[in-house]
Amino acid sequence: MKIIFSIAVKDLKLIFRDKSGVFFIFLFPVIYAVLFGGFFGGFSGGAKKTVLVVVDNDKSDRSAEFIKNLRKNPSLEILEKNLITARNNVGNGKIPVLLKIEKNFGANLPESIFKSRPGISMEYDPSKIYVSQMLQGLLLKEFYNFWLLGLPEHISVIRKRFTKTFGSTPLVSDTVNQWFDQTQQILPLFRKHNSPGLMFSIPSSVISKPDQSSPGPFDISFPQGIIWGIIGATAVFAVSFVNEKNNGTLARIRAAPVSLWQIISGKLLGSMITILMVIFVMTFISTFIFSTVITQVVWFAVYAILMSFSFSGMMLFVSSFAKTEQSASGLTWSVFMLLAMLGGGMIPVHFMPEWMSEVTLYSPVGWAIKILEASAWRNSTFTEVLPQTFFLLITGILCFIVGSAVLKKSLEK
Amino acid sequence: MLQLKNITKVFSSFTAVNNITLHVNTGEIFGFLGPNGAGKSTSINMICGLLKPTEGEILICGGKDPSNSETRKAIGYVPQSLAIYNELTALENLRFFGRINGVPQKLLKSRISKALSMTGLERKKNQPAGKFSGGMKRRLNIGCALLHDPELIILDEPTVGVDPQSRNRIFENIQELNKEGKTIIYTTHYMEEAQKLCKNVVIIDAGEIIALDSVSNLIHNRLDKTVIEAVIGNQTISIKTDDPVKELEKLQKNNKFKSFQIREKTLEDVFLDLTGKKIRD
Ligand SMILES: Nc1ncnc2c1ncn2[C@@H]1O[C@H](COP(=O)(O)OP(=O)(O)OP(=O)(O)O)[C@@H](O)[C@H]1O
Ligand SMILES: [Mg+2]
Repeated sequence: MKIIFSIAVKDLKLIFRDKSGVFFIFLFPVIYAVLFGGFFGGFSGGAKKTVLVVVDNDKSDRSAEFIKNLRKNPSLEILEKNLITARNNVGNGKIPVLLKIEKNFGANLPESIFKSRPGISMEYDPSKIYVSQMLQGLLLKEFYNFWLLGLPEHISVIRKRFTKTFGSTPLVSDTVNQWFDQTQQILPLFRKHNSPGLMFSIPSSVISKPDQSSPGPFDISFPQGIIWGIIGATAVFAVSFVNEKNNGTLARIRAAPVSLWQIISGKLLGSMITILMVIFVMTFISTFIFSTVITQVVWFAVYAILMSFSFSGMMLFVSSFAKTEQSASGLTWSVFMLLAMLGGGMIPVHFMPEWMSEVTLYSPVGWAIKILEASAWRNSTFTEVLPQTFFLLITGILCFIVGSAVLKKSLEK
Repeated sequence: MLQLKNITKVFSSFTAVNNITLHVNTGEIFGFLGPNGAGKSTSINMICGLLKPTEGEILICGGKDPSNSETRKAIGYVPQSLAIYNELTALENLRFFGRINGVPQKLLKSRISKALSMTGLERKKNQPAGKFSGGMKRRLNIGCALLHDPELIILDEPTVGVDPQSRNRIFENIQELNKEGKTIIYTTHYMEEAQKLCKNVVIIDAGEIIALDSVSNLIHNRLDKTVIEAVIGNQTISIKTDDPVKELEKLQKNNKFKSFQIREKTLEDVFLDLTGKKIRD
């Protein structure tokens, strides 16, 4: 018993001596808990609105009225755009869903009762199918309410039309009139039994940007897979770097006629090549096994190089602070997990509360996913992902500079 | 070959090396001695340009600064720790350290085979260093510093944990290199090694020089005492004394010793006399 106890005490001591270890054990779970709590609405800063872009091809009073009603919905933020702009916005991942109001939406509204397809349809970003499904339900309800509101009027319109056609044949006319009377009577029932799904459905399809192939599920999952691969490679590299600092091989290299600049560049290059290999292998597998397609091969290569540089810079930054292998690995994983979480790599950005989804704008992981998607299947132009490209580059450069400076200082102190 | 002028190194508030001035002549084997924590490795790290002296100046090969990377071409540094890559084979380790030390591709092969034969690792050259025994690792650790044929070879405790066979091999290597005209700085705790190899030595303690002289001067002039080795019970003790007869009488009176001998003084006697018996921390 005494021996067991001694071993346990020794282990506890070992853990608590390593400050970074304590950080991972205690502080990190707190950070995660706070973030996840925030994600589940722990900090209510008002519910987040979903942005919906509406294309009004009808341009009638009816469609205007419908849009006006949509605007009243507290969980929607409505933008009106023309079809080309709207498709670009959705295709580039800016906005998850577009709602198209077809021509003659207003005119055909009365007859909607005989058709299950109202004159509206949706197109969505395939990587945000969950948002589109949520919106599909919401829009269906909106449409149903809108349709109900005008139901008495619709009925009288139809009635008039019938009367015009069949008014001269009394038998038919009587039957039809009877039917309409009954319908009028069951109107309250319609209102009461709010089951729009029984009556209508809104067709929805993956966005068809003219120059964008429609992606399969693996097209969407593979950029994220690449990111995780990169994070793994980065952690391995950070560990090996710290290892070299501690076992004397770095000192030996520094004693050779080489400059610190050369050593750091060599490390950076090694890390970049590793990351590029990860990207290549992932791409190879997903292309040949899961038949994904890369639409902009050259840009994809350019972005891959950029990402390998940027993440290597971050690796250098992290490993310049880490003192032990454990802290190097822990630090890299947790920093990147956090960035991944905030960058939409773990929780869909859409479901984050407002303040949190703001933060995702500043996550290198988010930027990386964005530019990979841009060249892999979104077929976005360079200018459309310029901010992400720029920030990724700047982050890489800053991390590289600060990491090198810290390293230089710690080595020569 | 090497000159240290008033070198001081302060780590935050702790002075590890305090105002050391010495010079090492071209072509000699110079011993850098001192108890644990004396500041030997710190000094050597400064000589190799790994640490910046807080104060003072280091000049190598006729007045060049080791923090300049060109100057370091002249230095072969064997660190105290085993600074080799366990995942790489002996050959790959040697090739890597040869390359970063600027060995031209043409010469690399012949230099590597020379280093392999010197360290006796030819047969194991394709094995990963991680699978080597302690002694083999030590030898590889030395070999990695020799590929660029440096003029100044600095060895920081190269024989720790090495059996007598390997140790002798290492001594032979060092003497061989010295015969080729290399200057050698040798750090060790083993005084018999220093006595065997070095002409001049410096002994430092707590960062300060306490002796800087030739080995023979230290042994014959510094310690003006006779060494008696007496066997008492199961123990052998050595006594340094000015008056051996009186000391022996004293011992006999207590009827303690079984046998005794008066032996030649060694560098170790001088070292212990100068640095005392207190354990360093
Ligand atoms: N980076 C550092 N920061 C603070 N103190 C240090 C540092 N490096 C060494 N020291 C201290 O400086 C002193 C001299 O250390 P050094 O390694 O030079 O001793 P040494 O003579 O090589 O000892 P040994 O024979 O045990 O290798 C020691 O007290 C050590 O604790
Ligand atoms: Mg030492």
